[in-house]
Amino acid sequence: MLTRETPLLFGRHHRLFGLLTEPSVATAAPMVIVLNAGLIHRVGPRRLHVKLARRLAAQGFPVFRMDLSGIGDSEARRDALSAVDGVREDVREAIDFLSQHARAREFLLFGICSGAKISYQSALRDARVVGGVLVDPGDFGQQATTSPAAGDSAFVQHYVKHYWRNVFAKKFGWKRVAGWFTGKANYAYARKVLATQLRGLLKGGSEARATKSTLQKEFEELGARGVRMLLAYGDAGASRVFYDMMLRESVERGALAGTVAVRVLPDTNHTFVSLGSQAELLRAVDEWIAPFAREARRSGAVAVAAGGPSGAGG
Amino acid sequence: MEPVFFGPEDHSLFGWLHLPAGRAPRRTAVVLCHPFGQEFMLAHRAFHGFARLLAEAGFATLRFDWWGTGDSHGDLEEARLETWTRDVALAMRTVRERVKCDDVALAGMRLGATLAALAGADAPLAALLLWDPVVDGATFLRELQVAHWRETRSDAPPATFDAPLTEASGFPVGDRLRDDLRALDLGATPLDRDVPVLWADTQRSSEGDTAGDADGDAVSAAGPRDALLRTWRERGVSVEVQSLPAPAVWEEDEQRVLVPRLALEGAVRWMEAAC
Repeated sequence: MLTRETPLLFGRHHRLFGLLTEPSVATAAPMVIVLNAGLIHRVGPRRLHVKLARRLAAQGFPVFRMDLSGIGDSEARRDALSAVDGVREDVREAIDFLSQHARAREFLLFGICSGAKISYQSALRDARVVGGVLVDPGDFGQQATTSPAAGDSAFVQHYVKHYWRNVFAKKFGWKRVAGWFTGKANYAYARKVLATQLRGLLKGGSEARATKSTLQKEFEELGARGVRMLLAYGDAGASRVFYDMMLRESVERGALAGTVAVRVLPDTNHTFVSLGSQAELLRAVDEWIAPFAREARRSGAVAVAAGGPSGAGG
Repeated sequence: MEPVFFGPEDHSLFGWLHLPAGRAPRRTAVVLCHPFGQEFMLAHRAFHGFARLLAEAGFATLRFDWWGTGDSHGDLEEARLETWTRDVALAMRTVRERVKCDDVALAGMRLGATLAALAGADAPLAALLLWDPVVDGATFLRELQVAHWRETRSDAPPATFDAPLTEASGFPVGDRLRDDLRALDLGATPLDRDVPVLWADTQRSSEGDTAGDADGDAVSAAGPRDALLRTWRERGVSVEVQSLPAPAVWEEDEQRVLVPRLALEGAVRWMEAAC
């Protein structure tokens, strides 16, 4: 049986766009909203979001893949909101719309990179969000909520060490050197981290402690609300460095048990350029999201239909 | 602009229909044909802009995702070139039904341009705009394989690959599509002499071609592209070459989504003159 997919314009002036993928049989499972990864339109990196949506729909989850303002086929905002506030408002508008249009009551958010940061920030602010899959969430949007000085904050400080250890020191061979002349190196970021290092690592200490404390408090609040999160990381990304620094201890100590699950995806780069890495992520999501489907079935919902979207393959 | 699914239930394609605002559409509608794979992802926003500019110029315009790609249904591993040339025909029928136009022009980029030319050989066209088309499928396969290698490995790609291409930068390439691409030769495509053709070139924009230049001397350098242009002209095909003032948007970084407005406006002007 075909999975039904419906294109929807929504928000003020109908300027936002998303595609709703629905299971062939209605269920009480939470609706999944998939946010843009950076500037990539709703199809997702290498069409990953389409595969995800159709796969989750086959498991009983309605999935809404949306374009944030100014990305893909959504228009730019016409108000004076900042970029950060604007995308949060986009997500709120999507949740409001889907609550009305599709009668969804609970939401899971999925995002890669910037999409993960927005997912996290939206989960903090909207009680209708009951969970999220955050893939390489970086600093969870912490810099956006603190002072401008946080641009040179703990994350960058820590990244300096990572960069020295993994890029300059470990791989300082002729290929790396050649990279500086062939455009392979991230010059802008390298300059930033080096400048930051020169300004002194000590300054970052207090910022790091403050960020760590804020994050832990936020995750505890999410846990108290019953919000569950899957944090998925590539095995060598800067995002993982931030996790190691800020959250790993709490997770391993069990302080966030029941709230946070963590998966490190082997051989995965930031935009899932191999089919193998895509499959790894999809399997991780399947495993993490299964309890939501079971809970929906137990709550007296219609049984989830078996089988996938035969006519809407990935 | 209006999002649309079209085609039969088992071959449903997603697209956007852009209609001119506040005026009747021109008698010619335009169907836009996306590039393939990661090139499509990087060019998506440019096509969004292209369709909007065409609609502002009065052309009802349909842009759509190939079967098995983007938001369209289907599994890419099962796709082949013939699937997609039929998609072009389906899109042309759809726009004719929706807009009641007299005729349809095609415009495509990279593999999308080549598919437009292939599809146009079987259907009457008002005009054909080829933006850096894939001339030779075997070369294109090699380019895809090199790009995939560079994205997934740190060492230099080999001169020849031992194994055939099965995935291209995160997009599966099935056996049949690979065989189709290997045999693809744009030069073998019979183009109608009466259809105006624009060869829009961004890769060679610094090599002397000038906007509106239809002079064969401007493209006399060696290479498959130039040989193909000579062949077409010898057959009497009316092909014009323009260098569009734009980078190759399909080669950009994912963090730089470009909409080359000047180039798109140039393409729209050509379409206005041709139709």
